[in-house]
Amino acid sequence: MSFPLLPEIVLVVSLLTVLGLILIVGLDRLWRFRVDAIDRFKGVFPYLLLLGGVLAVNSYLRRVGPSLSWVFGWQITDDIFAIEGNFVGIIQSYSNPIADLYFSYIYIYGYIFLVAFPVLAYFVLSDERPIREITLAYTINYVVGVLCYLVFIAYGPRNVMPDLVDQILYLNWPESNLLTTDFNANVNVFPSLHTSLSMTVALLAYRTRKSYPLWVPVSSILAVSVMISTMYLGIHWGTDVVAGIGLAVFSVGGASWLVSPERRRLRAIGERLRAPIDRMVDWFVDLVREYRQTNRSDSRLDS
Amino acid sequence: MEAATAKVTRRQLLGAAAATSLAGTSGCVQRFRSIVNRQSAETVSLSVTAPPADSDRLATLIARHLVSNLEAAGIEATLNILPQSELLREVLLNQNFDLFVARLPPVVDPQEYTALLHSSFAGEQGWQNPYGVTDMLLDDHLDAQQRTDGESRRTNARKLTRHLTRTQPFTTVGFPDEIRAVRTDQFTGWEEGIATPISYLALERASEIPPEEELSLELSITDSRLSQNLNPLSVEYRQPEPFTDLLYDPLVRRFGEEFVPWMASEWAFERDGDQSTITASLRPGLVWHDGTSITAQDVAFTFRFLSDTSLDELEQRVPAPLYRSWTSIVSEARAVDDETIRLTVETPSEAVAKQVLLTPIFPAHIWREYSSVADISGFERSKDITEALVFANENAIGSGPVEVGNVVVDEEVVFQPFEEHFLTRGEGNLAEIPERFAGGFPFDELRFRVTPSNETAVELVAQGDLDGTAMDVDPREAIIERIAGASEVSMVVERSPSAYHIGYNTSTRPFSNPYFCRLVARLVDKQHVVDTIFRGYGAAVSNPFDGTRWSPNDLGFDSADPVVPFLGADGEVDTEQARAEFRKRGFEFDEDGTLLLR
Repeated sequence: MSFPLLPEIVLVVSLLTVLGLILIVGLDRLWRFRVDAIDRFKGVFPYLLLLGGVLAVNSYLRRVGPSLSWVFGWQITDDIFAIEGNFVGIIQSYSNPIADLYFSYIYIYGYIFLVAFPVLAYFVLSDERPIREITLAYTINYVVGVLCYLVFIAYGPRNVMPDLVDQILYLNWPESNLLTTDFNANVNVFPSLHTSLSMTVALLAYRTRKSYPLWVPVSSILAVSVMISTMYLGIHWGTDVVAGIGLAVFSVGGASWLVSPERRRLRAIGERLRAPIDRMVDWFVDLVREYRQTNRSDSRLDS
Repeated sequence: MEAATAKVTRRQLLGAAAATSLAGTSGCVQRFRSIVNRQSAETVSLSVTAPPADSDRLATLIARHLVSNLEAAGIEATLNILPQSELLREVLLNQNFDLFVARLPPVVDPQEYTALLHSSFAGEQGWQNPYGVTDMLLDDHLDAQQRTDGESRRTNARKLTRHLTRTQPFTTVGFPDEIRAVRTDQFTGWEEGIATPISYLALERASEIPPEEELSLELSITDSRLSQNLNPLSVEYRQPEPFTDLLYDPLVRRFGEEFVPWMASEWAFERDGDQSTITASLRPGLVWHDGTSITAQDVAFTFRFLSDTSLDELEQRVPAPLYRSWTSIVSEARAVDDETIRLTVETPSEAVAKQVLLTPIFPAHIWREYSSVADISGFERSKDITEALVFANENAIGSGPVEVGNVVVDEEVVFQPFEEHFLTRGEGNLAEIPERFAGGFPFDELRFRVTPSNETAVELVAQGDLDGTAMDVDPREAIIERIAGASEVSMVVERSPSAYHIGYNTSTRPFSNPYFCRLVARLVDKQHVVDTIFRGYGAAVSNPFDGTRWSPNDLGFDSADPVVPFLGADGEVDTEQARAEFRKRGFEFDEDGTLLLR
């Protein structure tokens, strides 16, 4: 399937990221980072690898998940409806064209920027702890999220009470549907991963407030907007959002516990696990350095 | 249906406590028994099964209307949203439902009620009596229309319709208008209607397109089931007008009231007492998509196979979940020679007998292999499922005008014109084939693309990425406006042949009581549904034959249902009136106004 919105998304998110790097991270910090770049990459690579692996498994499971879920899953649409009734409908009763536009953009562009930017921002920090925390927190989010999707079968409000909840996003912006939902994945609403990842970012922003004070209000506003947008657009139930917040708290707590320097035993295990990866990265980095040096000496000889 | 179990448990506890205290006084034991060993009425919760709004918005909305009106009348009800394939599995295969909302397969002739409602099909799966109806009088009416012709058949069918509207084993809500968005820059002729897949063949290339240019007809499907399974017998994957109809030709096709010889070049009917014989000749030179010749043995095989897909290998018959109104009355199918088939049909009625020719024909050399019991990696779950009913058939070999090109699960299904089809070859006597099908195919490829929603499908048509929506879209204002506002895009509106209906599981309480079904039917405001949910695109009916010669004139829907009028006004239930009607039929309500059932 093609992604008709991909160029727009790349453009908008890149612009926001550049803006963020200048205003939030600061040019001098970026300048200083150039010296440490390779060492930072070496230190963080195993974490990125773990997150990438989880994302790959996740995307596969989300494709086959729904058909598996129908075999042994637990249908909770009814229970959610019994808990909150027409809550999402009430939120939508305040809808207006400006809010439609704001929340649609937040749901697509705002969310991607919110989740992608801090990875870069923390990568630049000389303290490696935030970047380790955020990659682990994302990993926990996705692992718990996909397990929930396998166990719980729930349709979003727009599928259950279309008389009360409008399909605002897709009606105003039909192409976005090709991007945001896999065809069979409309039973994957509990919990809201949009909410949990956004909240994760906001919670970590508070933990790193000394380094990036400006990121705290920016990420909080964005995170709250994303949370509201999932309900305003009729995609998630209030219950999904509450569960998403819970998952965020759990992920951040879990990640900071894992990364904490007091976990000596864990650290030893971690060191052993990452040793072979580190050796590979070292070998690769040396290879690149060698290649660049030969190139440089070659060009010197030529001149 | 879930009974309020908490109450029972508490009562049992109290009963046990009372029993111990009463044990000494034997005189009271009789009294104790007559109180404890009697079931009291309980509140029950009914589950209304419906598809999600993404796949059938109108069905979801009708179900919502029904749930809220049931609750307004004091009947606890919940909405059970299931994807189409799960819904059909639960309803048609497992009969695990209370009420369901779905489209009824097109019922063109009263004979098609036979498999749908006759008690002898209550044990079969698929669209064979999913409601579990066992009604001797109904059986008599069904048998009567099956045995007669002409005016007397019409009278019998009207009696049948009258009985059905009275007993309401299902409630017909209304026929929606099918709305489609189509582009006119590559293909024309859409206004003739495209509700049935076979009508794609009648489209024409736009005049400005040079004849040598390769044209692909690209249509959206908002349902990925077609990309997962192409087996015409896998009933849970098929919609009311299945696209697999393009892959499997019948001997005769029905266009409106007309029976047009299709794979058969001609056929003859002969009455023989209570039975009749139909002799049909195949067109010369017919082949399957794999190049094998089509013979009368394939036809004979098809009738035997659809009556028992296990081909007598198993102790019990495993009939196909479809076409049983036709195949069940064929008692013998014999190939006289390679091109001539003789069918013995258990009815003297020509009008009924000729309908068996509408059955799609299956290649014997392929389907014979699938008569074994279906297993999951060697593990046989049950003895009444054959491989034929469940295999995905992604390389379907049929005889239809198109053959399978490429299938990508959840993305697209590509069909290609079948060059050896008699329409393409133009051989033999095509005089009776409607002219719009003559002169080759308008497309060089037919591509169905899975799109996640109607909004997206209409947008892709408007942008020129697709030629049209193969499945109809819902009548939301934004969608209609998008179609109207796009250039070179037309809106095709045609009355659907398949009605929205509410099916009741009449094999279980409380629906085994026809008065209860009638009362539930009276909680649906059909006119309100058509006005607000269909947004005027459709018509409310009292029964699937409303407005045709098969329905008595006094049973026509005229702003209100003539038999089960709504208990309220403007979609709102009149609670007092509704309860009074329920009480009249012996139902009771508890102190909270909730219906009690025994």
